Amino acid sequence: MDRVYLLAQPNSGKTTLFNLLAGESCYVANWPGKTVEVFQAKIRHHGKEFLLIDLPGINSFKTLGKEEELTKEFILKESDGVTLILLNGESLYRSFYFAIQVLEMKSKAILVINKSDYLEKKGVHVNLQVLKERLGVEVVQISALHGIGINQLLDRILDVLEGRIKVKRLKIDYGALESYIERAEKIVGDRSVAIRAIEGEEKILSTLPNEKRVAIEEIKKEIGEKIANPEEMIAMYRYKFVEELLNSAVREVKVAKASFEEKFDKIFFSKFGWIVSIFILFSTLLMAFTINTGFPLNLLLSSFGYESIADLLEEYSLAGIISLFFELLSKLLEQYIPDSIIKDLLINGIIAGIGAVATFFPLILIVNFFMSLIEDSGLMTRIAVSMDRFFAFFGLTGKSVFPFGINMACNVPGVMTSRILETDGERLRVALASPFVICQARLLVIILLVVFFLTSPILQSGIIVSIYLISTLIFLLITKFYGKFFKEETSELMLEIPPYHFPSLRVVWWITWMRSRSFIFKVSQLLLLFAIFAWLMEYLGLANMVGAIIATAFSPIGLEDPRIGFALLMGFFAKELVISSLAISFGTADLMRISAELSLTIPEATALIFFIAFYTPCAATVSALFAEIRNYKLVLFSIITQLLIAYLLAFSIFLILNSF
Amino acid sequence: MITLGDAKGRVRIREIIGEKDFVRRLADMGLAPGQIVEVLSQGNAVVLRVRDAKIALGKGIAKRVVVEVEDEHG
Repeated sequence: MDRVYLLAQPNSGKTTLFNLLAGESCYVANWPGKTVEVFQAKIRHHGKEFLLIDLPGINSFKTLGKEEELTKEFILKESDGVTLILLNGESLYRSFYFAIQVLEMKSKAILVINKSDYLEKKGVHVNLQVLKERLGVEVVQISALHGIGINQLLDRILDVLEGRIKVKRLKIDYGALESYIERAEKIVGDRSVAIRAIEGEEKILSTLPNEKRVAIEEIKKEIGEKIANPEEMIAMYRYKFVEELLNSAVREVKVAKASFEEKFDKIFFSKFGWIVSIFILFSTLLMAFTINTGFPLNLLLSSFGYESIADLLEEYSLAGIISLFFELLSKLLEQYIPDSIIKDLLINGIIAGIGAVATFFPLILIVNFFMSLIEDSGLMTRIAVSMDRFFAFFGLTGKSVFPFGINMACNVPGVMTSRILETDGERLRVALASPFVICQARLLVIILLVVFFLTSPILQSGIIVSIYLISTLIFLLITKFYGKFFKEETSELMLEIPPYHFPSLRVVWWITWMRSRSFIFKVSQLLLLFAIFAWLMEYLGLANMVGAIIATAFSPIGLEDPRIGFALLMGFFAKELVISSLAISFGTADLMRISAELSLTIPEATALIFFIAFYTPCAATVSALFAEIRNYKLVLFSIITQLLIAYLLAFSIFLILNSF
Repeated sequence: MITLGDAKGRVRIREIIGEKDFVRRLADMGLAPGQIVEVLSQGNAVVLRVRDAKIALGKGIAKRVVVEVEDEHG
């Protein structure tokens, strides 16, 4: 089948167009030879079928991650089919600078200028005929958001696929460099390849035999000596070409006045913009939490005396409804299946595992939904800008505030959100450090233990506040440490700020669904495995033995009770299990009695709470981490780091408190 | 020497200090020597208008872009 590739820079509306063309018929496929996934869809127009492939967005030919790398390789190599180069109508200058570089390499292409509605509003008129003549390819103007010009685009695709339109490769005049380019062309045999080689493109240079490489280096040196730096010269001529092109093809009829956008941006981009950003993030997260579990709004309501509403909120939150369903399901199976190992595995292993996946799913869905809203409306880049200075201290960009904030809700979507970051390095560092951010589930466990194991209110609140401060500090420091350890470059902010948009719900929902779907398929496999493993350990009676071994490791800080060891073991699978396994081994759900029976000293109890706060949060987070970075060695390494840091923290707090 | 880290208003880029990969990435964002840009804000990151696009740069990057003040008629 004929292939049509969709190529664009970020913010061009690529997802909107792909979604519009593909509708429901799209699927995810692995790019041959890569671990990168791309969306594909079979599309039918006037009885002809072709495969539309959505290539990852690319910012620059100096790529930062494996996804951009894939797109760059595609541009530089020969390819079949038609390439659609999608241009962002909001920033034509930069878009054309990108597009002409693609057109230098690919002739079977169509230029698609998106956001025609925006151009119209701004009074910008683009002369498509002039562009067509100058660039030698078809040019179409569309609005993917409003579905304008789509039929015409599909017609042109068929025209190019069936060879009805003559195409030719773009030739840009490089002025003073032309004689050098000609020389390089004689060496490598192709003009575009020659230009790329002079630019020092490693992907091209590495394919050349040694003597040709040397000859190219010779030419580059000569340009450097006689004219100027060759890379900068080439960029300059390209910009000159774009400048002339737009001068002749684009007319601004009326000048748009400064709008509300400028006013908002004044606030966001000021020194105090971070206050607005934190307010937006905080209220968004509060909303997401409350829809999911009812917490913390239920606490707030009940503290004001509205206990019944608070209970209702909790019961009819999404997580409440789902866990109710799984409770009923196990009860049903309990009744109708005869007792056997299979029944035990089914109820306590498999259903528990699926239940765990299911209870996470609403939160994933909600978080993804809010994130796509923030992303699509143009708020994300603004929040990133306002937070950048703070995160830059630790070698991160302001965008890291998103995974960090979401980690406070739950580490599973937090780890998954690391993929919005620009570089592979920052993604890896943030994903690996995510488990150190205290999530909601851990907060509840910590609160329960603090309340029942420590009596002084000052100590109680002091410990919770210090856990949060330490967790933030560790998160930031550990990203820096991982950066040094893996020799990843520090990331710095460099992004285009799109105009504000009213988000398209159709697109937002589509992105939400696609991202959340990948959670079910990727995270659930490992999570189910963990659940079965936990069941097996308990079934074979190994859990108590391992608990005892763990307890020995904790005897230096006075926690030698094997029942604590067992609770910590279960806490690895899910933090809530710390409380329930304590209840099971002590034969009572009354934490007061458990606390009395254990009679831990203040340093011992505090050390225990610290360890619980900082060691591996849950099996689901480990699974999400693996799904995201696809490297079990790194995941293992991160677990060991978490255990080590948690133990060291517990030990030091024990020593400090003991010295009083 | 003024850089984008402390410039205000309309400036012309003179030089970008860094490895060629870094220079290349900036050029692809529209920041090449000779280009005129307008510094919109110097808050927690530097916000620029480059032709019809708005670009945000971290302070660290901005300090490596040397500029000269462009007079009103330039």
